[in-house]
Amino acid sequence: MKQVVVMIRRAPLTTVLTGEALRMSLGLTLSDHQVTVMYVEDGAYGALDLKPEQIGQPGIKQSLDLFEGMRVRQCVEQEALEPWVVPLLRKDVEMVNRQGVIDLIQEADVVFSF
Amino acid sequence: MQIGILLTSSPEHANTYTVSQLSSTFLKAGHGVQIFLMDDGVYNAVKIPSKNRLFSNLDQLIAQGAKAYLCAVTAEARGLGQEDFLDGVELSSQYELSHLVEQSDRFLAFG
Repeated sequence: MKQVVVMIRRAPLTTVLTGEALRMSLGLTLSDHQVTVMYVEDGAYGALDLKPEQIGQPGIKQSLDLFEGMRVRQCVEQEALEPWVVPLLRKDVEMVNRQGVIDLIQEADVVFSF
Repeated sequence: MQIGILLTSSPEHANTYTVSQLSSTFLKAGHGVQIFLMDDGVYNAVKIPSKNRLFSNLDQLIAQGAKAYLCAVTAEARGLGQEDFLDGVELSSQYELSHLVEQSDRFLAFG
């Protein structure tokens, strides 16, 4: 088992890459890796209460719905959320500060960046 | 040492050149290299019999001993099937990627 961090840096609804990163995160749990999805920079939008199916991106929701069962941890960079007055975070996402992000990356065996 | 590599960039991207050079050097040094292609990275494995082919030396890396896998889902989404790919490239899955991560002493992601 390895500690794996999947960093999502892009806004989720402007690219299919976020959906791909989430699908990959699920796949990585199949070898019992401890997977943490980290929403940073513009990727922090991915931690909000999205409705991607309304713009034809059902893949994101499918993966998110399975994260809890597969014990995928989700974190969002606190500083990336600060520009928003009312960040509507999903309940299953932890907020960590930038130092926390750095610590998670340093502790990881493998880091993927999308 | 076993080196695992994920490449999600298409052939014209600098990542492809970096992966090619790194992999070749690892192989010459006696390390094992396993490359997993995903998203636009699958284009690096397409057979293109043209002198204008974009840079990709995946076939040479395979000849040197590298193992190459690609995500069948992203290939199918791009209209590509086994017949489109270089010999030695195996259509695979995210399950296989999770195994590559497990087996690798070092895993590098380029995307």
